Amino acid sequence: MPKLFVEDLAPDMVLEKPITDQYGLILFQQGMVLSERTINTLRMWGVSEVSIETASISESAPPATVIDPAVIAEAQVITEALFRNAGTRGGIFTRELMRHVAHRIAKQRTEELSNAG
Amino acid sequence: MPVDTMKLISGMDKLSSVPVVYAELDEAIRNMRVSSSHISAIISKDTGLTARLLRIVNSAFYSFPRKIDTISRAVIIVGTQQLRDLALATSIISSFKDIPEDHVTVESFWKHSIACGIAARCIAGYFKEPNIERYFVAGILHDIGRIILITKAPEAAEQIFQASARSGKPLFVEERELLGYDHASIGGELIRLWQLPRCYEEIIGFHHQPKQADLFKLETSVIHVADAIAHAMGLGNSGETGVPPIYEEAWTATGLSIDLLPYIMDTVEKQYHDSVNGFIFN
Repeated sequence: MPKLFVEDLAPDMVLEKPITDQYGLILFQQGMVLSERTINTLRMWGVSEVSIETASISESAPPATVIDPAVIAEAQVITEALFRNAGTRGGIFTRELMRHVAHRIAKQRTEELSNAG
Repeated sequence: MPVDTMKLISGMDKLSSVPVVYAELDEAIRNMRVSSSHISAIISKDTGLTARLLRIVNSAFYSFPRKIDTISRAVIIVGTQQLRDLALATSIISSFKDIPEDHVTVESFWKHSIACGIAARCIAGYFKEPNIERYFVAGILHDIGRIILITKAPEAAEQIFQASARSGKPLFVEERELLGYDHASIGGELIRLWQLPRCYEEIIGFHHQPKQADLFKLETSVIHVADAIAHAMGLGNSGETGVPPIYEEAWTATGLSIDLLPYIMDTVEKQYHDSVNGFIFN
């Protein structure tokens, strides 16, 4: 049940879970096979991580970065602390900025870990 | 221990050559008959400035396909107003090199300002602003009041840093608490003393309260948003340890789609690394 960053997705990968937007509306069904076009759509919708069926990853090139859920959790804690004085979480700019920052921190940490190991 | 703002910035007019180059270039540009060779002659008098400007115009800021190796070419390709503004930005950075570094280093301070300037410049590029370099200048200048506070009133600055560390509140809140004004208003006063364009005074003075801006609301909003992005991305350090309070209305004022945010952040990252290594500290 690995989660992948959208930029690491490749055509022919299979969605392990349905993808929903922030209101819970389903954008793509579970089991859907990705194409260049659907990957672009995900990017445009601002989806950052996606659960992909393990079997479909090994068959697709290039090898993708798998994010450890613990790393995501850690990145969220760091982001929360960074934004402690930022005020409202309700606004779209603050919310999106936090999401992208957490994503960047998680990605950087994942790269550090993979370089170290 | 209240310190008067005017006392803080007194002597800053004589101390700095920053406004001189700007004023000279600005006057030349206003005079419509002036040629690009005259503009390049003014810039070329300062060899340090010439070298810095050539590094900027050959950086990822512009990504021109060919190398620009003379100022007169740069004037033609980049534009006179743009070059005047870039000259101002680099002159400011190179004239504030010595500050007490107890809480913030000169390098990390300017890195934060550069990141803010790059973000502002990038945002302005999306709404087809003809001269995006003035946004870069505004980013470079936005926290200049803090440098003045640290240099001219080190004891008050120390108290403010300690109070912020204790309370967890942003520095500008503690500045207002202790002094009755903050680094933004000190910066605004300095801009006025330097007789730089009115827009900078308003942008810098209100960058923590974009709502209060009057004539330059859009510009002030852009710097407010850019400051938040620079803090959030952890590029440089102005002494503040977190993202300052964000006014959502400032993002709305830019009129941009939120989908652009990741692209803005990518551009900032790329241009930031290229500029801090390439032309700022070289």
